[in-house]
Amino acid sequence: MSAEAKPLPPPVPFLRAAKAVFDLSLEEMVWSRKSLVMAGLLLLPVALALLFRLVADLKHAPAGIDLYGLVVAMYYLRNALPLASLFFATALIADEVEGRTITYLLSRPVSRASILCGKFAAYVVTGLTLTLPGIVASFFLLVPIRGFAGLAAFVPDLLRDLGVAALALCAYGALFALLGVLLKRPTIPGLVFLIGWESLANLPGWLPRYTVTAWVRSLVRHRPVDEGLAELFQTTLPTGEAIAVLVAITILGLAGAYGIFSRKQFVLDQ
Amino acid sequence: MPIYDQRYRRYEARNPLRELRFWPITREALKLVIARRAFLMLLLVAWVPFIARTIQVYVVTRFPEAGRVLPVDGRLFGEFLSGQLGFALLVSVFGGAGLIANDLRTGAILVYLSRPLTRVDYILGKLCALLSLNLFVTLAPALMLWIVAVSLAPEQFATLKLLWLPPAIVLHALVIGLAMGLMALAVSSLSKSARVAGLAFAGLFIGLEIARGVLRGMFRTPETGLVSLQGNLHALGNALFGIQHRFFNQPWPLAALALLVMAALSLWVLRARVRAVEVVQ
Amino acid sequence: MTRSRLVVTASFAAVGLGVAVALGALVLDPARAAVGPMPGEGLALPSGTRFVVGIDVARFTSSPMYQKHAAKADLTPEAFAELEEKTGLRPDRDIDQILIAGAPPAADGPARGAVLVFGRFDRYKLSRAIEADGEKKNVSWKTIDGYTVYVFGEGRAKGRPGALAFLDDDTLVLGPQATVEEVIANRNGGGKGLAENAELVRLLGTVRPGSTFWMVGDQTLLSRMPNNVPSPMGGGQMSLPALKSLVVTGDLDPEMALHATGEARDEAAARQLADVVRGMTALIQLQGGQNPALQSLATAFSVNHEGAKVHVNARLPYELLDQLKAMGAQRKAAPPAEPIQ
Repeated sequence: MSAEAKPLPPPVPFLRAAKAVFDLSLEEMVWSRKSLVMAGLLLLPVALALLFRLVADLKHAPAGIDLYGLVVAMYYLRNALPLASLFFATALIADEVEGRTITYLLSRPVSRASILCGKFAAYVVTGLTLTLPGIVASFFLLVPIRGFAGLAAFVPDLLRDLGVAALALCAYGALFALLGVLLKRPTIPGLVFLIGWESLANLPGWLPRYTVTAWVRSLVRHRPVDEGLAELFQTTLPTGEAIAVLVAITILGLAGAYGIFSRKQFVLDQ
Repeated sequence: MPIYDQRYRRYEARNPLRELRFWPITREALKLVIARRAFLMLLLVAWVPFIARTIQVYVVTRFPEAGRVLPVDGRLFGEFLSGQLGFALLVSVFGGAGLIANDLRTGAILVYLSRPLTRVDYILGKLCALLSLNLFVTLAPALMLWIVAVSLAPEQFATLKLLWLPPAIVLHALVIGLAMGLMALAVSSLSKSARVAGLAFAGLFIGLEIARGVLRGMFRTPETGLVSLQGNLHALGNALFGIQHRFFNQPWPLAALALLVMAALSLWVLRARVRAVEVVQ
Repeated sequence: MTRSRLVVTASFAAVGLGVAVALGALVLDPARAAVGPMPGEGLALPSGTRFVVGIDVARFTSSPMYQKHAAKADLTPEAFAELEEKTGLRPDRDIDQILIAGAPPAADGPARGAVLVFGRFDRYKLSRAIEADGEKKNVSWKTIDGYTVYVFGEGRAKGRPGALAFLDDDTLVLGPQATVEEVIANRNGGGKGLAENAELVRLLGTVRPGSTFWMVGDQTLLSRMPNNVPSPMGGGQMSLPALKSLVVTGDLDPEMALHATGEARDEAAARQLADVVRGMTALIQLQGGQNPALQSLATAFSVNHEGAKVHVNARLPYELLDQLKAMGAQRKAAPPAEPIQ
């Protein structure tokens, strides 16, 4: 009897495979100690706003929309969201390599594109899960500090902020996902990018256009007074252009990450 | 001795090891981290501000009018050290995040603590490694800058009035190194992944600073700066070097107290996490 | 459902609920008829209005600035006692908002404008007080479209007569007689009023509600502003690009905060204007040296431009204003420098 080679099973369709990876990754990401740390970072403004409501003399407090603007523009968009993205997105593949589980994932009949897309989708959902409630809660805790009259005027700002936060998560996430598959140790380059490169947004001329944060900042209407160089050289870029650039960063980042991930050979440390 | 008195006894190190038992840990940790080319690059880049400040001192000594724009006096060193905090953060993340996390992941901590070493030796060894790295990007360039300044403008810097500068530089650099080192080690002990620990430390460092910014916007009092490690280090530096700053202006005794509390918290975490047995849940 | 799914679902449900409440507030907001921070009654202002200023009196009177200067300027509740007894009105308590609308004077004519005051008025007592002074102050009254209009100085040789009318129990209009009558006509549907002035309505829509004071002005007003200012470097003048519109909002509590948005004719002009402000800020910073007050003043301003718009933000704590005032006083007291021989 001749030993016939058993035909390989057909690959799982892209969407089904991506959904399976998404389900698996979501379980690992949302209910983990890492997420608890990030939840602490992303929900800190809610605790600060609560403290403010309880302790501060609201009659002589700054305008609520200014405080909410400070939380959105300074806390979330400039610092916490990029950090959370760095935290989660660089780990999309690195976690599997570090945990030595990448072999099991890659030996399944699923395409690498579906693995990356499933994991990225899980990252976006986790990021949104941790971020959006913080923004909404901050809005309702801070904006009506002098009463609910006039609250409606700022509702468009809330909706816009939620959208911008989602877009920022996608853009930074794609960029850091690329960094995560490109480098073995992406943490320091990622931090250097956030602390160093992104500071170009505070300089004059065209330099802010070379950063991600300047595009993100331009999309919200809050312009809190800064504490440093940014006070002199704040630039607001056109809204349409900003959306286009952030979408392009997301697509190019993901495409680049896929390009590298699809060819990369993973040799696990012994 | 009756059998019921045969309780657990701490290991008494052999005589030759009694002094500086932490040193081999420090030495090995430094060897490991310095072997990385990228880390050496980072250490080199951390000296770029020193070159910039040297040029500043040179220009002001040659063209005193430039001093109106870029004043050169004792405050220069405080501003320089505050500026090095960014590098201290990167060095702490790169060099410190894995110091305990990797030992926890590989189980090496059990090997360490089964040797003639106590928990204090282990922590001291790791802390010294991180402290020396931090001092290399803070104390060393700041002292070198002072030497350059004294050599270029002795009439300005080699005076009795500015004799407090070297001790102030040493004190501020030590406070920066110890505060950041202890916190980085505490965070490192909370994870088994160096990457997660590094990002968590960076998140804590930056997160507390932006929380300070938000709290300041809300309460408009300088005391809000006490929540931030970075803010407290700045405030202490400002007090030491006589800098008046619009934002980091919390009272320095409170800033020092806040730093002590942060250090105590870090030590408490380290005490809880660094142990020879792992509690499996 | 797994724990993770539960967390995700709960989080999205909370966000959905929050957004639904916010949208509900947007749809059901009673002030929807208003334009920006201006109440709906403001639309009765003349269509030729070129600028509108709004003051939230409650916020203004509770600000540290008012509290500090009220005693000096005799604006304490005790000082208002006589006025209150006579008219039933205590301005700091009864007035909620003031709208000042105006237009620059025509080539040879007088300035035009009207003031709308919103609050709680004892209409009977106030009317009696005006009528009691009738003969002494040359006040007459007449009824136009059912509204009683009090006219001051009718028939006098110099100046135009002024007028005052209650639009309802909570709204008072003051101004030149012709303007007050125009406001009444607009309110009764005889004219379209401010709604006809599309540019100003658009600008009003951009004003952030909730400020202590705000101002919008269009091109006509701004074209009369000087195009040259003294150069901060000394020696000569600096030309400023013309502005098409200006929107200013401000708060006085807990510090003085101003936000001004100017619209230039194009992006290049906006950049030039932003650069001028930045230059001035940088100059203050340089001149400040190690003076903390000047350093703080320089860092209190932020400037940025967005297309043809220039935004200037300023946050001036009262301590800083006091320091600057003290510096100014010191400078005045110092003997003038000896001329160089």
